[in-house]
Amino acid sequence: MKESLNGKLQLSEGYLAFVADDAKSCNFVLPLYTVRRVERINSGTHNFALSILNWHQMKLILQINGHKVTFEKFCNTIRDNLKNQVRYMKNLRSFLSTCFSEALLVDPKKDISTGGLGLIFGFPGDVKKLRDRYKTKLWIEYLQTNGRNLTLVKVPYFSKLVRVGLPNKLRGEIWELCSGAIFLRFVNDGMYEKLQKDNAGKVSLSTEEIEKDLNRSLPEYPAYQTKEGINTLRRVLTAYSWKDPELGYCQAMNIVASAILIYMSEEQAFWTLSVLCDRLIPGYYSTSMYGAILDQIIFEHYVQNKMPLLYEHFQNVDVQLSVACLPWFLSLYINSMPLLFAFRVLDCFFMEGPRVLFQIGLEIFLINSAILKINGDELLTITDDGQFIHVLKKYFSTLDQPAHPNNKNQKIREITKFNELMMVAFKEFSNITTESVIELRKTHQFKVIHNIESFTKRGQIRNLKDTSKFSKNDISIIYDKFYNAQFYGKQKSVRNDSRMDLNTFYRFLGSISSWAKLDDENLTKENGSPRDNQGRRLVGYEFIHKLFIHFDQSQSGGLTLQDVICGLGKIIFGDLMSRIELFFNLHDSDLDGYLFKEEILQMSESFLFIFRNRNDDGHLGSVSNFIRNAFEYTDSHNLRMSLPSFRMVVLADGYLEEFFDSGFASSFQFIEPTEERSKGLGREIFNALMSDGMRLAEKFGKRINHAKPKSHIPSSPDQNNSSNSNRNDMTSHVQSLESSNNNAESNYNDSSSLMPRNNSQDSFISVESQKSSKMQRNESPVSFGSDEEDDGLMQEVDRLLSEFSIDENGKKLTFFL
Amino acid sequence: MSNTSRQSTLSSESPARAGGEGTNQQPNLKPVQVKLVLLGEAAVGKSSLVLRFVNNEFQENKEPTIGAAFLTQKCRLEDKVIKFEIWDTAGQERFHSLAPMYYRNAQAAVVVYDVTKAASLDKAKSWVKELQRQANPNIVIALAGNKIDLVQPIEESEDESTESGRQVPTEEAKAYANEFGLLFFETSAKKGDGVRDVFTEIGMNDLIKI
Ligand SMILES: Nc1nc2c(ncn2[C@@H]2O[C@H](COP(=O)(O)OP(=O)(O)OP(=O)(O)O)[C@@H](O)[C@H]2O)c(=O)[nH]1
Ligand SMILES: [Mg+2]
Repeated sequence: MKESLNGKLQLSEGYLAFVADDAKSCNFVLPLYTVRRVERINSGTHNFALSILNWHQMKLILQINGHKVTFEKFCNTIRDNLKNQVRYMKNLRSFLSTCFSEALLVDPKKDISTGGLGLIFGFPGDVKKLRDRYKTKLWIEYLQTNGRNLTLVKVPYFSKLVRVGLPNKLRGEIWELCSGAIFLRFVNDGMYEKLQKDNAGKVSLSTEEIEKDLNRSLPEYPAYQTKEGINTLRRVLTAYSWKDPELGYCQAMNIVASAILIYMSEEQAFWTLSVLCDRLIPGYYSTSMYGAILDQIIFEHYVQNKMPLLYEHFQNVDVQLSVACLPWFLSLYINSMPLLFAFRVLDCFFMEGPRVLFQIGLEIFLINSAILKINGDELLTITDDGQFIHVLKKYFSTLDQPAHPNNKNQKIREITKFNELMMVAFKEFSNITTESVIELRKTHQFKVIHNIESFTKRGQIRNLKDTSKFSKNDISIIYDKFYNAQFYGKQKSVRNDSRMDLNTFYRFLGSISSWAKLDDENLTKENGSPRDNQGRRLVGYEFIHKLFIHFDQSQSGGLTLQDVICGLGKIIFGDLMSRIELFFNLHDSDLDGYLFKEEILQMSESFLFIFRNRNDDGHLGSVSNFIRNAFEYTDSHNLRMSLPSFRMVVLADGYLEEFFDSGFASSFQFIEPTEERSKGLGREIFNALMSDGMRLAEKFGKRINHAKPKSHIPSSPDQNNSSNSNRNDMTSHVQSLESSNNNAESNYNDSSSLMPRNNSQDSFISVESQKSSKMQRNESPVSFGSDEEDDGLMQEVDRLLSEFSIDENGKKLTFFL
Repeated sequence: MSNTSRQSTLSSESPARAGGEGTNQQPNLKPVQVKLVLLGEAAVGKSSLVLRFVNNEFQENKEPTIGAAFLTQKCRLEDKVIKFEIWDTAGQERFHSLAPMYYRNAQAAVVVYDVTKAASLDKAKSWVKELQRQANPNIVIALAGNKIDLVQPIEESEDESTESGRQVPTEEAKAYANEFGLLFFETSAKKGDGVRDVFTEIGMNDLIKI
C-alpha cells in the first residue's frame, strides 16, 4: 500500500530527514549509515525519484520536485555522504543488539541483556493496570510497519501510542529515540566506558556532591536500596560530571537520572542526560541555573498571557509562581507528582520537547482556577505562598481520582484527573510551540543573565573578608575587570572555581594600569619564561609574573578576587617604604634577603619596562644611575645588596623616589569602561551564549564550529515530533554539507528553505513510502494538539473518549491507566 | 511501588498538630503566622529537622530538596498559637541565587550546619551575613548545629557513620552566635534532640509580633 506525502527533505552529512508539510502526518530522521541501497527510479511522470532501502528493509521513495540540476546535485551529495558514513555500518549489528525493539520483534517473550534497572528490580506500577502487554502488542505492530530504533518513521499514530503511556520495556528506547540521544550513543560508541576508565578513582567537588545524594535518589525504589543500583547511578552521574566538568553535578540530576535508569541502560541514560543538559533544558543544571530561571520567567509570561485574571491575582497577593513551579521544571515533574504519572509526562516531554513542561504547568493552573470551572476556583482565592502550595499539593495527591465523579456518563466518570490533565493540556495550549519557547528564551536571556550576574557580584563582594581600603565603587570595578579578564581569556580548563591564572592576570593588570598593557607578541614558552620569536626574554611578562606569585598568598597557582584585592590594596594603600620593600622582595627570587648581580640587573630591566612609555628623558638616566649606585653599594665582598642599601640607592634618585612615593600607586586606575560592562558574564553563561550565537550563525551559513566548546561530540538531530526544535541542527548539518561541496546554490540545501516558512518552496519533495496495508488503519485524523472547534471541555472529553475507545478492528483501547 | 506511594516533596502537609503539647482547637486563639526559612549547606539536615518538627519522624535517606519545599505546622506557645510556614530550601551552592525568593518577607530563619563538617559552619556564616544585609531587618535568626547524635559517645549506636567526629566545637559556634546576635542550638533530627526548642524559642522571641 502506498501513500504519498508532500514535505521537506533535508540532507546533511550524516542524516536524511523528512517532515511532512503539515508537520505531523509523517516525519523521520534516517541516519545514512542505516541505508543499504539507493537507486534511481526512472518512472514516467516523475523523472526525479530515488528509492532508498534501509537496514530494516523499509523502502522509501523520494520524488524530488525541482530542476534536473537540483536532482543531480542531490544525488551526488547523497552518494558522497553515504560513502563517508559507511565506516559506521560495521557497528550496526552490535548496536542493535542493545535495542529492545530488535529483540521484541524476533521474540516478544525474550529479554535482552541490556536495559534499565527495571528488568532486574521490577518496574513501578501494576503491569495489568498499565495494560502493558496490550500496549506492547500495539507497538510491535507499529514497529513492524514503520521501522524501529534508528530507522523509525513517525506517523500520527506514534504520538497516540506515546500519549497513552509507553510500555515498560520499550520506554527507555523510545525516550532515547525521541530525544535523539540514540544517535549520539551510536556515533560515540565507547565514549561512556572511556570516560569511566580515564577518570577512575578521581575526585572532584562534583563527585563529592554526587556522593551525598546517591542514597537520596528515589530511595523507595528497590534498586536504590542495593549496592548495584547505587553504583549504577553513581557511574552515570560521575561520568556526566567528567564529560561536562563546568556543569558538573546539580541536585535534581540525581532525581532525573535515577528515574530514567529504571527504563534505560547506563549508556542510554548518560546520552539522554547529555541531550537534556545541552538542548532540551539548557542551563537548568548549570552552576548559575540560568536556564531554569529563564524558563520560570517564560512560564510566568505564558500565565500572564493565557490567564490574565489569575496572573493579576498572584500579583495582588504578591505570590511568586516559581516558588511552586521551579521544582516542577527542574525535576521534570518527577518529584512533584506520583511517579507513574511523572513517567507519562516524561513520555510526552521526550517526544515533544520542553514545551510540554510549560503546557502541563499551565494546565495545572487552568484546572485549578475558575477558568474551566472544573475544580473550583481555588487558585483565585489564595492569599499567600502557603495556600498556593497547599492547593497544588492537594491537586497532585488526587491525580488518580475521577475528575468528574458525578457525571452520569460512566465513561466520563472513569476519567481521572491525570487523564484530564494530559488531554486538555495539549489541546488548550497547542499554540505553545517549541519555536515560541526558544524564541522567548532568546528574548529574556540577557535580563536573566544580568540579574544573576549582579546577584553573584553582590554576594561575592559581600563575602570578601578584606576589602583593603578600596571604596565600594573601586571594588565593584575590580570585580568587573577580574571577571572580564576571565571572560576574554576563556580557556577550557578543568577548574571550576573562578581563580585567575597567569595569562588572565596579564590581561587583568593591563586593564587597570597602562604600563602593564602587553603587546601580544608571538610568545613561546621556554622553561616557563615567555620569550618572543627571537628567543628574547620578555621582561614585562617576567615582572608581572613576579607580582602574580606575590599576590598568590595561598600558593595555589591562581588568584581569587580576594587575592587580587589584597595585593592591589597593599600597593595602593601602602607607603614609600612598603613599596620599596615590595620591589626588593619581588626581585629577590631566592628569598635570601639579598639582591645579587643578576637580580639587580633584572630590577633595572623592570624599571625600564614600567617606564617604557614615559615620554621623558629622566627615566633612562635614573635607571642607569640606579645600576651604577647599586653596584657601588653592593657588598664588595660577595657582590650582594641588602634591603637597606637598596632603599638608599632608590632614595638617592629623585625620579625613583617619586615613583615609589606615588607614581607606582597612582598608575593603577579604576575606571569602568562602558563597553565592557555588559560583558561581565560568568564563564558558563558565556558558553551558553556562545553556543546560542553559533546556532544563529549557522543559520546564516557561517560556520564557526571550531569555537564550540563541546565539539568533540558530533551532534545529531533530535527527533521531536514537532520537528521544529531540530531545525537548527538540521540546518547546521546542511551547512556543513554546503561548505564541503562548494556548490551551494541549489534549493534543497538552502538553509532558508528549512525555516518554518510555508511559502516560497519551489522544490518540493514528496515521499512515497511502501508499507503494508496496516498503515491505513492508523490514518484517522486524530490529534490531541490542534483542532478546529473549541466546543467546551465536555465535548472534547467525549470526542477523545470515542476516538480512543474503538479502533478499526473493533478492539477496545480505552484508557490504559 | 504503588503509584500513590510517592507524593510531592511538599506533600507532607501536616494536620494542625500542636508541637507535642496536645492539640489546640480553641477558636478564640487566632494563630499568628510566622514565615520561617531554613538555610544551610547541602545535606546538613534541614529537611530532616523540619520533618522531625512537623511529623516527628526521621528518614535515613531523605531526598535532596529541589528548589524548596513548603510545610506548615501549628504549635501552641503559652498564650498564643503560632502557625509556622516553613520554607525548606535546597542546600547546593548553585541554588543560592534562588534563596532570596524564599527568605524575602521571612520573619525567622534557621541557619543549619553539620557539627561533623567544619566547612558547613563557614557556609552558615555566609548565610547569616547575607540575611543580615538583605533580608527583613527584624528577622530572627537561629543557628543550629545538627547531627549531634553522631558525636555523642552514646552506647552502641548503629556503628555505621559513627566514626566521623565533631569538627565544630560547641563553644566556637556559640561564641559566634553571641557575637552576631543569633539564637543558638545543637540538634539531632535523627534522635529529636533540641529540634522543638529551635522553633519554640523562635516563637517566643519578642520580634515575632502578633
Ligand atoms: N545522624 C544524623 N543524620 C542526619 C541528621 N539529620 C539529617 N541526617 C541525614 O543527613 C542526610 C541529609 O539530610 P537532609 O535533611 O536531606 O539534608 P538537607 O539539608 O535538607 O539537604 P538538601 O536538601 O540537599 O539541602 C540524610 O541522609 C539524613 O538522613 C541527624 O540529626 N543525625
Ligand atoms: Mg533538604
